[in-house]
Amino acid sequence: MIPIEHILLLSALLFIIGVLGVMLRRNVIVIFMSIELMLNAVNLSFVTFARSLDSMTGVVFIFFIIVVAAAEAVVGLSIILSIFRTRKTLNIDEFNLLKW
Amino acid sequence: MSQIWLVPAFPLLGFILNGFLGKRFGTRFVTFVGPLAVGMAFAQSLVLFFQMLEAEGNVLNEHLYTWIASGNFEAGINFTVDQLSGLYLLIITGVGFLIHVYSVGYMKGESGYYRFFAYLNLFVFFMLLLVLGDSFLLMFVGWEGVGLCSYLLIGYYFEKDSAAEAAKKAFLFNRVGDFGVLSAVMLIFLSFGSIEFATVNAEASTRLTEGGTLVTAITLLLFLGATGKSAQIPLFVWLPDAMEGPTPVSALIHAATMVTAGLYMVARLSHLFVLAPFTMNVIAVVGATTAILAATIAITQTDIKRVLAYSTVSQLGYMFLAMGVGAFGAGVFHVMTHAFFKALLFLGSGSVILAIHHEQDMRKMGALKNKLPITYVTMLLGTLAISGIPFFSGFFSKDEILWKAFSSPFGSPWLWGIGFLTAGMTAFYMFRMIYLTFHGDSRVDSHVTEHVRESPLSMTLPLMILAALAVIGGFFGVPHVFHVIPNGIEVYFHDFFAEIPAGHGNVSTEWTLMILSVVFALFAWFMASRLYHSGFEIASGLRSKWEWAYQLSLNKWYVDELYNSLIIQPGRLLSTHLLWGLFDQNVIDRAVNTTGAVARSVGNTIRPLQNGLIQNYALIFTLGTFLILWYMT
Amino acid sequence: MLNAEFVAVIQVLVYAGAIMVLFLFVLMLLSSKDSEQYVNKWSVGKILAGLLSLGIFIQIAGLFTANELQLGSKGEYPLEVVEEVGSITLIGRLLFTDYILSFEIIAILLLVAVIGAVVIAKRRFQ
Repeated sequence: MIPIEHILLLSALLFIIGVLGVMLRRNVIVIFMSIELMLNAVNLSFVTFARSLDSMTGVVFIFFIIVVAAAEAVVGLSIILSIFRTRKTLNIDEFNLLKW
Repeated sequence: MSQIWLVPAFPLLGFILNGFLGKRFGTRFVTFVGPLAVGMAFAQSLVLFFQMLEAEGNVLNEHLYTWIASGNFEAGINFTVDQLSGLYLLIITGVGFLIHVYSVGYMKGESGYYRFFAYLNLFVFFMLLLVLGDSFLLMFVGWEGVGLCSYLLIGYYFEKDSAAEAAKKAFLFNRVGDFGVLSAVMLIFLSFGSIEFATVNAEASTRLTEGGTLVTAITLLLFLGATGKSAQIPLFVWLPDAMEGPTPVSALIHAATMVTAGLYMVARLSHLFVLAPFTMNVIAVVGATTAILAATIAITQTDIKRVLAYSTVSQLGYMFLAMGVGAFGAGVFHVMTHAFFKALLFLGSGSVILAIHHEQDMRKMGALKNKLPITYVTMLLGTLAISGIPFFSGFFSKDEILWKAFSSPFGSPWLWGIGFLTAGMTAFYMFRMIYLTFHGDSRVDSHVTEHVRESPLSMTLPLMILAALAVIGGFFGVPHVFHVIPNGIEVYFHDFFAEIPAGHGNVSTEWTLMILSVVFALFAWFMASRLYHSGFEIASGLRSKWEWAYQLSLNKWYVDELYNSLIIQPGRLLSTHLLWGLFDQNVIDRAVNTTGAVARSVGNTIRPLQNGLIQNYALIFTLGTFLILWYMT
Repeated sequence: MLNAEFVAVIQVLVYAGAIMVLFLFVLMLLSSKDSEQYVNKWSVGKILAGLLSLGIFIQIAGLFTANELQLGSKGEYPLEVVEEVGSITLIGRLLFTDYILSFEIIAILLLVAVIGAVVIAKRRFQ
């Protein structure tokens, strides 16, 4: 039985890698994949806690997280598609519509 | 239960009806409503007068509404009719009614007819408020209101620049006086805790030390207000300019009523004034000086209304002289007789002016006595009254004042001397006016001469009534020395005014002085007839010898120019350079502009934060998360 | 090791099967001019980002490896019960009894996401 701390550390590491990916990469698709990575890291820590607490609630919650991640990826990618049609680039600096 | 409120209510109703409906319903309506409003007020004043005589303590009170109730202080709209306000009520409404009737004829055909009567009614309303109020509050409302109406009525011909300027001048000089009144009211409130006249009069001697600085300050400030309203030195210069208004306005406001408001205030607070001998001296000296100064100016004026205006200032000086020597009853008596003959003289002059087509310059008058007989006779009677010819009304009141000026403990022979000289000058210039206007050869413009006719009945009837009053009005206050009938004024005002110590002087002195002034007046009449019976020629010859005196008199002793250079120009310089240039531009504008600039620069600094770059936003998210985690662990 | 076989399988199915395929389809549609060069410059923002991330990692790690790591109260499904009944059964039971409301809601969420995606990405024909 691996000590819980190791798995938790792994999940934190994955999470930080996702965060770095969001902040440092330019390609929009890569940023999306980093977001998915973050969500999965959280999944991992949920499972760990569920096991160590002898509870199934954590697993059910993972179920929900996966569904939401899927939905969000779908909608996000469709938005990227429609913005791409005008700007013809995937550089996130061109996606600067979130201002006045 | 006495309905005092009816008296001001009628003119107020007249104002509302004339002001709002007068234009629509036309001249007939206004002619009916305007004089009727004041006439009803006069009727009710008569009723109240007799009720007051029967009432206990000779006072009627009516409480209408509590205006201010704050802590211990209460000020209400209460009306009081006592001897002083009862007399004033009769004067205001009676003479006012006659002037309203006269105005129907005088203002006929003027555009703005309804406006005139509306303002005139409003004026009567405010004047009534002034005399009916039982506290400084209501009196001051009336005080300000009559100032306002004076402004409106002087500037009645508002298209004329000179009229608008004169109206402004009147209002501004009044304002200076108002500052005095307000300061005094505040001091009174601090000392007495109340601003009701009854309280102030009753407790004056207990709360204020006689001759002390506080009471002197209060009374001097009140007198300052009185000089503004009643045209004494130093604030008299607005009254001659006020002749720009229509003649009935000059008669009502600037002869009979508004200018007597200052006198009313002094008389009302007699108990306060006798506690300040210094102020009494100041009042007497200022009154006497104003009287003689105005008389010297009146001698050379050529505009008939200016002569009368300066005559008013002079006579008001007499009344203040009376107040200043403690002869409050005599002063009020002269207010009454002056109202009669001065209103008569003004209305008569208006009749002349109208007859020769709005010509006011006496150099273009003459030989009118046959063409305007009624006007001539009534004006002559008025002149006899004002000159103090025996048994006319002015004789009794003026003589009383002169005697008291001589004999009262506050008076002195010098004051009597000034008054004596002024009386002679008054007779001189008034008869000069009569001779120049009605006698001699006609200097009237030729194309006007054919149309000169006596004025209609609506104008001559008030003249006749006022003339009758000017003749018999004096018999209310026959001095004791005649031993014929008791002195009505003294009987009427018993115990109302403050007591002053008994004067010196005996009966024979009184007779001597009286005969002296009569002789002097007759002499002045004689001189006037010699100089002016045939017009200006003789006088012009005399003038070249005394050119400097003539110029001084004609130019009003250059008082206006003095004020201009001493006060107005420095004030303008101060405003332009200091207040506007230095303070307004540098301090205020700078503050405002700086605030704007700061807002703009803050905006410029913060705006780049929201640039739409998503990775920036993500960076800020992580920064926030870091900080939160830091605080949690 | 964590006895969460169901989660593992679902992850593979959904992520590798559905979401990755979705990404690939999108990349296919986004065939822009090839090989856009993204110049990666070092800037203050990037250094700050790195430092902050490191800081957060240290904080979370500190949380997780603390000596007095306090966990909540124990649940009702110890290892033996899970092995005996089967994780799928247990999850199914929980889903359809205790968490039925959330289940329905995410069903609707999925519906909305699908409709939204179609609407947003639709090519408007002139």
